[in-house]
Amino acid sequence: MNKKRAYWIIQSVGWSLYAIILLLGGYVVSSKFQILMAVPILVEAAFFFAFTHFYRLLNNRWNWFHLPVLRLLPKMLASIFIMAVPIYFIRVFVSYLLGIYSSNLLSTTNIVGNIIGNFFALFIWASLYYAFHYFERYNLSLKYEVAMKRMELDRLKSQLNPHFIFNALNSIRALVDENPSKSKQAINHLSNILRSSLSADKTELIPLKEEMETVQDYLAMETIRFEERLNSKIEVTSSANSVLVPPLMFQTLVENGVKHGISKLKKGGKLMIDAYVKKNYLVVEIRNTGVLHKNAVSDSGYGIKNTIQRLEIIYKGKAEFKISNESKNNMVLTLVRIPIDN
Amino acid sequence: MKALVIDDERLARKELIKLLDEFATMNVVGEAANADEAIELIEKHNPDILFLDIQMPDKTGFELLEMLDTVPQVIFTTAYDEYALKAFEVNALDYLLKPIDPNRLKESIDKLVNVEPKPQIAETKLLGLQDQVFVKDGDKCWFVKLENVRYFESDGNYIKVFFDSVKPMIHKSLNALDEKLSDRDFFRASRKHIINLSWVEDIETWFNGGLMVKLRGGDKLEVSRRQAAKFKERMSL
Repeated sequence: MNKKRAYWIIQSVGWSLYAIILLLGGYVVSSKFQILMAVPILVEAAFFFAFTHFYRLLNNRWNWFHLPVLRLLPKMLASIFIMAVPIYFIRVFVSYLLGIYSSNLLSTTNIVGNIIGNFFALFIWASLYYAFHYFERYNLSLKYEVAMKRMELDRLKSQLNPHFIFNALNSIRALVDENPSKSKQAINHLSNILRSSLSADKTELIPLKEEMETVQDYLAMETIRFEERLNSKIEVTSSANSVLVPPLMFQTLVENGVKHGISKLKKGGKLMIDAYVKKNYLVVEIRNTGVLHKNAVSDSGYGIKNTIQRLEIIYKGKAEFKISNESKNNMVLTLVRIPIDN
Repeated sequence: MKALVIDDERLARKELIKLLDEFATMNVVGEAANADEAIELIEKHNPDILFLDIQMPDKTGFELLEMLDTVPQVIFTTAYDEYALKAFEVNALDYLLKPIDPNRLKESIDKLVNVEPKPQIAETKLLGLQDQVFVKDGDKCWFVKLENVRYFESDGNYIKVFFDSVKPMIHKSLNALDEKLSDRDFFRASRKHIINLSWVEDIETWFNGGLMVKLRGGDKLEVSRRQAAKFKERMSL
């Protein structure tokens, strides 16, 4: 369900109920119903509505959600106290305007009693508000855990593609005779890839520089296999190098480009990677020769879908993923934009 | 035996050819990097055995086989491709996993049926009972010796191939097929059917001067009046 809508519904229904309960209470106590008596209560409820909404805005702006409970609690209590006091005097003021003011409204008992009442109403509101939030955050972290698990499994299947490993080993076997020193290099490339793939399980984010080193090893390995059919180029600006990214994400996307693009072409093609920082976002563009077919995204299995999910979970909708044909140069462009956390 | 190595990766071809060098019986007559090159070499050398990679650009190993009228013996080579190999359910099929283990290669070569050395130039010879064809229907594939095919039945733009307990469809016209099959072994019974004469068990006369042919296994097919005379002549009735 839409979170914003849910908030508005609960907020309106909640404070309306509050007003109705007060009206009923007044009716039971005085056993008569006067419109004039109802107005101050309705105005009061409207102010509760407005004040709590304002509180929510400040809460979001100052990021109180991220505070530990012990630091949040005093801030919350102080805030609702600050709201509780004027709300009572507003009721008094409205009564005065309506001409139903009586002096006992300003008696100490009434003032203290009502302020405590308001305080409790606001306290219940705030408790529910934070409870909802923590519940949702807990839910999200559960979802995240499930997704991570699936990705781990998937990594074993698709990211560390067995097809790639065995083909690499086959090339190395041939190179041992043809070019022993190149075969040694190839063993290093393959080891590096295996190593980063093993350590990817342990870390959530790594610097782009590290990820690109893996990509470089991967491309070096595939260039040995495809020879002149694969031409690749990587350009990463120095500011982009330090941005943290999910491990093996770009390796997977590059592998997709090789698997679905280059390896399908008799004459092969180019693969180019550009990474730079623009307006507080890391932008990575991967271009490979080939054509993206209509159903490619849904048919490619977990590769692309997983990347989209992973970005969604880690960056909560602030990251962008796009794959499209660039008709002007017969290339497929895979674009990822990741927000940079300051 | 004349062998042809087909793989899009040069190093993979080189490695396999080097391994095959150890076998005196294996004579590698060529190597191809894709299906089109392979077809040319097959026509030129008429090899006895293909070492065939499945994943290749443009056309896969399967698509290459579909283009051939008759297929030689085939050993697939693949890095890791359970999915593609599952296509073969019925037929014993041999495949080698890359990097290829020399001992495993020896087993495969020992298993090959030693065929009569073929003539250097492939004559445009008609397909007989000993020829093998490759049939692919959807995701499933078969290597079929024509002696096992009981009959062919046309169905729109397709032909149903009846053998064993299956009848996969291939995209071809019955007329085109008829031209390729040897008259000694196969007979065009009607517009709809071509039958394998070696399967004929019994013949009865039928309406309008036609014939009803009973095949081993119980299939009954009608020979049209127009073809009946030819059929009688052929079977020396």
